[in-house]
Amino acid sequence: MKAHDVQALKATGIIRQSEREYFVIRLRVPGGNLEADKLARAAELAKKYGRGYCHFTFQQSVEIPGVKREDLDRIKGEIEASGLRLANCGPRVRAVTACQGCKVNPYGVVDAPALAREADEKYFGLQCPAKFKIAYSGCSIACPNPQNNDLGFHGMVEPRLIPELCNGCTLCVQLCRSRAGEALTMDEGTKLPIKERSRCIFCGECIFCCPTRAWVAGRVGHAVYVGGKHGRFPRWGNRVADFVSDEDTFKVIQRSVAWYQQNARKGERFGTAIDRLGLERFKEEALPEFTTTHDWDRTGSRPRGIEYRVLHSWDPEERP
Amino acid sequence: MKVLDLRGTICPINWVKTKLALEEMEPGEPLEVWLDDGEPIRNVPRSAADEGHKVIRVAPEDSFFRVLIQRCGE
Repeated sequence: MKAHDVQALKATGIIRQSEREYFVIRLRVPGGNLEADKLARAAELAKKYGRGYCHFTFQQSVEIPGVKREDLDRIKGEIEASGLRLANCGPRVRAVTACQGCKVNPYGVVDAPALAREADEKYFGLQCPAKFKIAYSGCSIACPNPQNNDLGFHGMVEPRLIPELCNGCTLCVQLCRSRAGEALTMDEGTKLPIKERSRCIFCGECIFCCPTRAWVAGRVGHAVYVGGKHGRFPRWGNRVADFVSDEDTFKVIQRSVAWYQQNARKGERFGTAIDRLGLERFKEEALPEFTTTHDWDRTGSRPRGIEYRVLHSWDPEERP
Repeated sequence: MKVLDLRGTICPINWVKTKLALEEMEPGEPLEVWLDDGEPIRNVPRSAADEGHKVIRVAPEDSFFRVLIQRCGE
């Protein structure tokens, strides 16, 4: 098989293995959700054409390894007929990943898999200078690693107190202190929690824990990280926008990909291009109307210049 | 006052034990539970409130929380 044929196949999610007569078939599973019937179909195909097992990739794709070259046309036909879709590989926008989001996880504040699916329909496969990965997380716990994707989002929520419902139990204050922004204190006069906005990290811990549901969700949106990657030389994404609406996350993707296509060199990852040309230039050219709630630290996880009792950060350079 | 030391007891066993203790009590009676940080302190007070009990006060100790719960009346 000629090299350019192998490259063409790779672009469609059919990737040559180290055992060179065999191919791995990568199936597209945007947001990590796959209908049970299709999953069963993938399992059948793995038994019929592969080695009887599937591999779940870090990009949430389901792969069927060990397919012989002469079976490729047949398995492609069966994949198309079953409603499964092939994913991709190489320098282009990859299948968009997500956690289970707010419909499943009580901490979630946004519907991450639904957004991932929509973003995938819009942007999957766009040609780029190198690979381009996008992840949506339902909350700031950030399980899908938005900070280590070329473009990453995590849900964030502004807590609002309904004073009449609060009985002053202090649970929110304790939890904000031990696991969030240390933003809440008890007002000894009113017996109500007071929020210091400059410390709030919009994680929603207070809303989730409140036994009387006195804390409710105000503004909800997405934090945006750009230029993250893992790999041999990992890069932590820069937090460039906060409280971005569901609809505007698509605008962020579209503009970021366009900027990347225009400005990066062949083979250069998004974050590397940002480092070479400057984060400020990227923000001005691609996302001029977006802002952040705080001047975030290097990790994007807490506001800069605030002293914390508990060391939340792993980054010694950011510790007070 | 009845005190339930649930340090080292994982979810959801800690909530099951809290629930059983509350069921044996009179309406309005207080119960103090000791809960570890992490999932226990996040989940048990919320579960108690969901069943109509009242979480009166949460006091932090060095390595755990003391949570005062009042059994619901009915």
